[in-house]
Amino acid sequence: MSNTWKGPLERVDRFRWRIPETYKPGMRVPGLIYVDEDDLDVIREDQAPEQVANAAHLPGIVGASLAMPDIHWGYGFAIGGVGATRLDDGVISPGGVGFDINCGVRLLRTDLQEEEVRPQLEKLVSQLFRDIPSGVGSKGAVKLEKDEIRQVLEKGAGWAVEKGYGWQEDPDMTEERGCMKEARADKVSDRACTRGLPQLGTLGSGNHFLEIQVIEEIFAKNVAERLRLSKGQVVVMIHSGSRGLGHQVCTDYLRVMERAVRKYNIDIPDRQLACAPFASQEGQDYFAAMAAAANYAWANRQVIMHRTRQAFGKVFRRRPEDLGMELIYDVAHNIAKVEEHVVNDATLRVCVHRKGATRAFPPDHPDIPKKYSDIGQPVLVPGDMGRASYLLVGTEKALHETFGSTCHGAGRLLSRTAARKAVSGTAMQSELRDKGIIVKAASRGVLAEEAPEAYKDVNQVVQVCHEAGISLRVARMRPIGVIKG
Amino acid sequence: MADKADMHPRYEVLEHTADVGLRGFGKTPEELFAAMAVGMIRLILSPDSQVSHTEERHIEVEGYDPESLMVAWLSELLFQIYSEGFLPGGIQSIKIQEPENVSADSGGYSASAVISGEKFQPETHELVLEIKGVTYHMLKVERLDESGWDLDPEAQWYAQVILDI
Repeated sequence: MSNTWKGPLERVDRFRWRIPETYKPGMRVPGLIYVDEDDLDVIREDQAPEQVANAAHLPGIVGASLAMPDIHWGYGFAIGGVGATRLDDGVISPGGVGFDINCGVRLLRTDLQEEEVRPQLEKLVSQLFRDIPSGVGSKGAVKLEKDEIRQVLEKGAGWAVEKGYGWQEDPDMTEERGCMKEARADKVSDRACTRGLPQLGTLGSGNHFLEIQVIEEIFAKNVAERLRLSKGQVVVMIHSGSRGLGHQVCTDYLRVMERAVRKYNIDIPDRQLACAPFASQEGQDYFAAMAAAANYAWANRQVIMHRTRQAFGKVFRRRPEDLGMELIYDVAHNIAKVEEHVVNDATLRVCVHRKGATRAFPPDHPDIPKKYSDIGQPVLVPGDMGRASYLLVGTEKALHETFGSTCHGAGRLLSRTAARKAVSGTAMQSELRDKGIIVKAASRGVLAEEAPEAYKDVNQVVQVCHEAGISLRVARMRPIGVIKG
Repeated sequence: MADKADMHPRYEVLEHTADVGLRGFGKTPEELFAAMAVGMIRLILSPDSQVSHTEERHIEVEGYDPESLMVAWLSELLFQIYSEGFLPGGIQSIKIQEPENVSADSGGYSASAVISGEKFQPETHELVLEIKGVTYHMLKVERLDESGWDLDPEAQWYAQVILDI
């Protein structure tokens, strides 16, 4: 189905390629793609650059329609897309966020070294697999009353901590402190709540995972030391989102936006970019509902992390506190946020859409934890299960160039069907085992779909971000235990 | 790929890097909507999951145009499956209605269907795919003129959707 994209890409500098505003008549700003020259052909293999150009049509978009180096073909925005719109005359678009609202990643540290975990690894992976429901339609981690879900939506990670799922300081180490204050539970439909009710604290399926990882390499010793991380140390990465609740919120509001596009006479080249003026009732309603779904996702990852700590505690017969299992940080990579940025020398409040992109704020930014004000915001980049994941930090350059954004992962290369054809899940499981990686998955099919071959090399994606200066490498982690949906 | 053994319903699965596409055909809009539903359900359920017809549910959805009606229809089925735990095994009846006066705002396209199936049971059913949503990206619901279709002269309606997975 994919055709090579033949539009114009003009070189700006080593890692930036511009789609000029003149490419399509309705473009309001240029497109700007971060990519290494050697990967230009890969970028042109599908229609992702066209989607970058399409997003440049959104009313009120400022600067440029951006794409991070892990860009690939999505719907509406490209995955890896970033677009900022003015609040007064710009729009908000669910197509710039996606169905999995606040899909994101968190990383927690441990005091354990690889050699201490190895002998218990099999047991640990089984314990985690038992304690954290995963797979298609997984449910049953938390008993939630119908009225309670409204509190989850408005309080986010804080709700989970209040209920005993975690430590007081956890929300402080979470983007937005685990709660977007703009959230309004009454803007989330009963249907969405019904879908979310049984799923809190579950991993889900697809590319979501929980990984026990070992720090394989340190790139910035001083930053790593500040985070109390060193080579050989065991950490845990959790990748999940807002589950069915977020999917339903997106579905509900796409319909609202369809109507809004007609009502406000908005001209867009792709129906999936349906949007409403940010300041309109429709725009505000979506933003409040999206924020509520984002809060659900933070509560979700908080509960999963709590269960993870407990599982470690059971297996190592020590309190999680004594294992040093502190949350390093939690980032969202499918979200829209109101942020202050400098655009054309003027400070402006804008709605930043990040669809498969991670916030990467620099040192001293007011929106990052005080604890990190000297090093910058930690950025978590999950890779595929055979290779590596990364810990980076945000930079001043990102704030200037990308509305404080960087990549979010490896980016898919093969469709899921193609991956299934190329790889056998069972063979891959034993191959990974030979490499010392224990994998447990709710379904064998998912294993094949998520095979390393299906993804771009995360090392290259991160290298571009690092060299372009929109985030800096701190540490690389390799998985030793994987739970997949 | 289209299920050759079963010419009704007619659908095929399309490749898309991060998502999955579905294309369906029908002699009538009703046949088309039924084909797309069956195609999507077969993506979600493992091939050896047998769904019996112990319960019937009446479903009604609306849309501004045939495309948004298709999104509403498939989204409703996703809700039934993932939220209600109701697995559709077949479509007993379906009626698509077009509005008498087409205007930009009012819409007025509707689908009314009776689907039969049963509640999800972990012992007999396996869900192999979680579809997050039905996108409007590359969405098409079209009537084909006779010359426009060379694979199947009987397919007069055609649809295409990208599903986010």
